[in-house]
Amino acid sequence: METLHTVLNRGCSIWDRERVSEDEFRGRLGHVRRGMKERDVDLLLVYGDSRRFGQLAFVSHFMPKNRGALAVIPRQGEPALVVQEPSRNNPFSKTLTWINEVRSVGQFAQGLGDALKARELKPKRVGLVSVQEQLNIREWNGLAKLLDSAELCDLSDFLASLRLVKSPAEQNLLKETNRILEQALARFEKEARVGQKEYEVMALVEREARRQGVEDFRFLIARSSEPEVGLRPAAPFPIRKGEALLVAVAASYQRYWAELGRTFCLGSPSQELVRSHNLAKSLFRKLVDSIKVGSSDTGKWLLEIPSPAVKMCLETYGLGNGVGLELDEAPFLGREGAGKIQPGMVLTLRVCLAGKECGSALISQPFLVQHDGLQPLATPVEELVLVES
Amino acid sequence: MAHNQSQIPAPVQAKLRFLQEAMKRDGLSALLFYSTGQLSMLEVNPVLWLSGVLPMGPNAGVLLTDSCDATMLISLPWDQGRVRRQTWIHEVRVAERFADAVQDLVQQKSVQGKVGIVGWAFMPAALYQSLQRVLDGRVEVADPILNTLARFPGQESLPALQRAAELADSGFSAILQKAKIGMPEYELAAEVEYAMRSQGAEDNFGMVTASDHSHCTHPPADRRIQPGDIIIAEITPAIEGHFVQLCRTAVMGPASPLLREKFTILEEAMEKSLAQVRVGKKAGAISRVMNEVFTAHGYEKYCRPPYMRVRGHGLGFLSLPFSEIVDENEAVIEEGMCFVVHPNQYLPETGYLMLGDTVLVEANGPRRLTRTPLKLFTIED
Repeated sequence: METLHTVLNRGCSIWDRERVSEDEFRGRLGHVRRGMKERDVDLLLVYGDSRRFGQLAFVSHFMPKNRGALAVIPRQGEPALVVQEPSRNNPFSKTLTWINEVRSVGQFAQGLGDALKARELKPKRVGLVSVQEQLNIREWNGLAKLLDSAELCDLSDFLASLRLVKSPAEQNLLKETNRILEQALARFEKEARVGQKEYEVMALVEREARRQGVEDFRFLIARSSEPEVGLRPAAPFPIRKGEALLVAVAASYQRYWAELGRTFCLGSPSQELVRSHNLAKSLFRKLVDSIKVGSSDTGKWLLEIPSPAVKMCLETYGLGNGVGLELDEAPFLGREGAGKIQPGMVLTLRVCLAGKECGSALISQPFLVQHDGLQPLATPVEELVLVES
Repeated sequence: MAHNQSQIPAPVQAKLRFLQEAMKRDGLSALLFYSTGQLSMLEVNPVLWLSGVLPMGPNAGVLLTDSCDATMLISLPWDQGRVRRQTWIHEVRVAERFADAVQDLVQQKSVQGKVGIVGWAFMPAALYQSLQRVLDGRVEVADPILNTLARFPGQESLPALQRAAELADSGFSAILQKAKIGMPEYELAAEVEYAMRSQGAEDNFGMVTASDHSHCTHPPADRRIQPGDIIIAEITPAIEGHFVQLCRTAVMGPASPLLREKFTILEEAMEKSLAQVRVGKKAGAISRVMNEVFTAHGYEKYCRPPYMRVRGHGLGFLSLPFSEIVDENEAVIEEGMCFVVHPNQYLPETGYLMLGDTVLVEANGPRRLTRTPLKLFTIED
């Protein structure tokens, strides 16, 4: 799910080699190079910025803090990482990646040019991953000039395909992120009080997550008392008794994201809220039942929903997606071309009802796809969470 | 949709008048204010500046025609309610494919001539290329328009700036209160964050580092705080889209005579550079004076990369007098500008030390916005 980005990924920033080893990255590099060979590409450039770094982190483990970075992967020899940052940051950046050659530069063309020169490499065919989609036009113009004699081809889909199924190390990291997030969200249940400002309780949840080493944290809220407004960042508005509070939280830990969404109510919920949540619960179960290994049409059951408003709301927020190095990544459930569900995928499944004609309820949970079904990666909480006020 | 002028806030009306004149002067039929979802503290956010709201999602824009008809384009359908509540712009559309939505809008609004892009420098290459294609090359870079108009936060922003400064003080105060031997850096950073976020900070460009010899400031890692560690903090909370930055240094336990001696150099550089913050002087003088102080103490080499370069900067999202305070900055300081001055410095004997404050330029000199004393702090565990 999209959230409001921050100006700096400012949480715990480390590479924990025990959780994800250099061998893991060497293995990925091997897959990437086989794909490069099949496509006759002699250089691959993978870009990521502080907002979306999944493709870059997959090959480098690097997460840009506030700008961007470019992985330079030749067919042979060691890769390089070009980071847009002051040169004094170079030693710190080196602690976040397995790539030894980290070039801190003002402009990407300068760093790429130096990396190619050091390798005496004049690429004929260059694969691009997330470069033109994310890199700003000013920097792209510099790169395009540098590569003007090479043929360019986009390999973003190829790299994304390698990320669909998570390795055991990735699955463990995702479990850890979910564990932290679950613990953080429990603070909401413990601390939320009538009259408290939204951002006050958000700060408590965020602190819990940051204390456990997350590198980024997001919080969105929607309220049954303002059905015209969807999930949004926390504001100074006080929490009221008896209303539904739809809370979605997300965090990344060691580059791996998780998302959890629950509905809280301070005091006694109205019958309308209970009905609304029961509807969300039944829809969520249908969604879970629709996810089967080999299935590709995970949104078919939506056709059976009689209410156009409910159907539209589910589609608007999305039924779910893959989660890993990005908070929302392929497969995007219910969308055309989502592809087949495979064992080893990690998915966020989501039912969000927020609007005048569809009620107020949110259930969002992570699952690991296994041959025999879905394994929850967080304690399944499908009930409306009642908070004593 | 035509706007009822009386419903448009006065500061926005002033902006619209300037923009209308700028379009006429530059021969543009419309301006597209663009913002990518990747936000930067060091830039004015064109969409927020004009619309008053920061939409979520990958792309956001406002198309403003030469008759001042404004339409907003956002990425997420579920963000519409919030955006509508916060902006003066009546027409808000959800754009699944941004370039196509701009094309539709340009056709519907009968924009015949060139469209200037404000926010070009941050626009992804693929999007810019698509806009060039769908608008038949009628696209021009118009970033300089904003560089001219958004140099001052304005009187109406002073309460927000003051509030952000109070939060920055709270953030540093949390370091003094919460830092403990054995605590991981990231836990201390979490406390700093909490101190500000629980009081309404919208964002924070914040870095907290504890080390016996830092080379730079960076987001926290998992190092556990040791006796004698030097904690350096860059704290930059935002309120209503305005950032205020504070840089300080604290030592765990008593400060050594060497550290005290070296920190006085930063204090001297701060004092002398603040004396350069005067209406009519050039921004580069601030940097030059700082460098002269460090050079006089034998640290000329450490005033240049890879150690140091920038001696302060403007702070986005809503105004930016200039981007970097460096020796070569010829920009003239004017009343009402707001920027951070920081003689942060790597010294070989102590590592990286930090000292800096955000100042508002007044007729008779700079007004520091934060209250935290400009000194080296000590923390008794």
